[in-house]
Amino acid sequence: MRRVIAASAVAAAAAAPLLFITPASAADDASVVVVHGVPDLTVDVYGSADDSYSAEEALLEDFEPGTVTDPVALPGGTYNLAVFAAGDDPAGDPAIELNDVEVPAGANISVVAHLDDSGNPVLTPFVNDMSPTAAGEGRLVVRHTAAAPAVDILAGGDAVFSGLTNPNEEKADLAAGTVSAAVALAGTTDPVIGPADVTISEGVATVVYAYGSAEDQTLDLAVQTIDGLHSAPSGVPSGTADLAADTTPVALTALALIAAGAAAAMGLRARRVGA
Amino acid sequence: MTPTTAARRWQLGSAAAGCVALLAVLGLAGWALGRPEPSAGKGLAALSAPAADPPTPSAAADPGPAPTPSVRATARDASPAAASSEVAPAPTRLRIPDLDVDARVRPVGVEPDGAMVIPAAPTSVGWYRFGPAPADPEGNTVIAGHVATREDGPGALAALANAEVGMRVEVVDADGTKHRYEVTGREAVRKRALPVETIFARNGRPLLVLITCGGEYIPELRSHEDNVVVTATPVG
Repeated sequence: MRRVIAASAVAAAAAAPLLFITPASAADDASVVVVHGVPDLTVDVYGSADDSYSAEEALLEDFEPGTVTDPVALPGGTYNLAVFAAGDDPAGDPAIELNDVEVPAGANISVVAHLDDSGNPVLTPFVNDMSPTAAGEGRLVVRHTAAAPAVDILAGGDAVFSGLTNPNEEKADLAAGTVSAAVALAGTTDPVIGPADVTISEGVATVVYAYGSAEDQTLDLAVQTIDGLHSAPSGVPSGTADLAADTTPVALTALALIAAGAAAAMGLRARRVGA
Repeated sequence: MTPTTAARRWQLGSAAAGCVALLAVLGLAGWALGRPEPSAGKGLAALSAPAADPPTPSAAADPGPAPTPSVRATARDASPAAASSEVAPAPTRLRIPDLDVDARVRPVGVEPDGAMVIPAAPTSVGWYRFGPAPADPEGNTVIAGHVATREDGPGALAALANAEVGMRVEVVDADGTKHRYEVTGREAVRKRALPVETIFARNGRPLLVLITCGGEYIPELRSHEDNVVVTATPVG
């Protein structure tokens, strides 16, 4: 028993330096999210620093269309990314491949597996705007990642972003709330996707991906959220009138002065009368 | 009447007036001693500095010499309906029994100029709805109210200037949960110097921050010079 305790104490001492090192390096890591926008294809995603992929380099397995990953921390660097049909041998030819993806330390990146405008599967990295939003506002980012022509993004029936093409984005900071968003072919107002209620949370970037194929009628929306962009209000203007003033000190001071004056005057008078 | 009796009378009068003056001075001293100190407890220092954002989940403890993404990600539904997250219930009532404060709490946002909205009715106070709520595991619940308004007179939080360390504070949520706090500090801060990033922190220990106005009133600005900030920490 004693030996076990001694052994675990040694192990704890050996592990301790690592615990102190990890947070420092984590701060410089890039945060990467993978978005799946290729219809009807369940995949495995691999990331590698070289040209070959092995089972240990799987970022995620059985990744289904219309899902996003939680953020993963990657050390800054240049990566090769590959997508294989789920269960395929990573030594073979990938379904989608993207080489030399720059992942700067500290960056926030969304890598999207999607169809290009002619329907071929591609990987597109987007660098997310992490600048703070004003107090009370959230950021709406719309990305065209569908096999479809240029589109307009409608909010409440009106076009807010016009002529968006694959693989590009538009963004705006809006008051927090819910937006009824729809996608229509550029110049029209007849939705091809939606309308769907999109929540704009305060201090959060809500990234909406239009994905799928217009031809195959698989168009849909995927939503990724990035929080922590909030700002504090500029101040607290709590008072438009003066409080009823405390008159105690004024009254007591006046009384003290008058009484002291009276005492002095009467004292003088007493001396004069007495003399 | 002999000169001596007249002199005695004036002497008595003088002594009486002197006593009154002395009593007035004593009263003044008592008033000065009875005033709340400009700050109590740890003041604003009771607020923790905003904690760094929790590190993003990192499975790779040792990245090794070459950057190898040896991490496993988990995926989740990205449909618009799945994106809305649950929020903690809003506070609805604020009580400080020692100060006779019992106010309705309403959720508020920001003015067009970026300042926190303060409910117009001085009897109700505002909770900053974009920040943490009492049930949230992290960050400061901020509740603010007018000290007084021109239209309605003294506000619900006018008594905050008398808050002392150890006083009990109770906040009731929309779902009826009672959150109990104990005052840890009070401080008057120049409005322009209000450390908003610290006060409205969304990370760190869950604290309650109560704010009203104090200090000199500047009629031209219809505004007070200071904010009175009271911090309280959860108990039991």
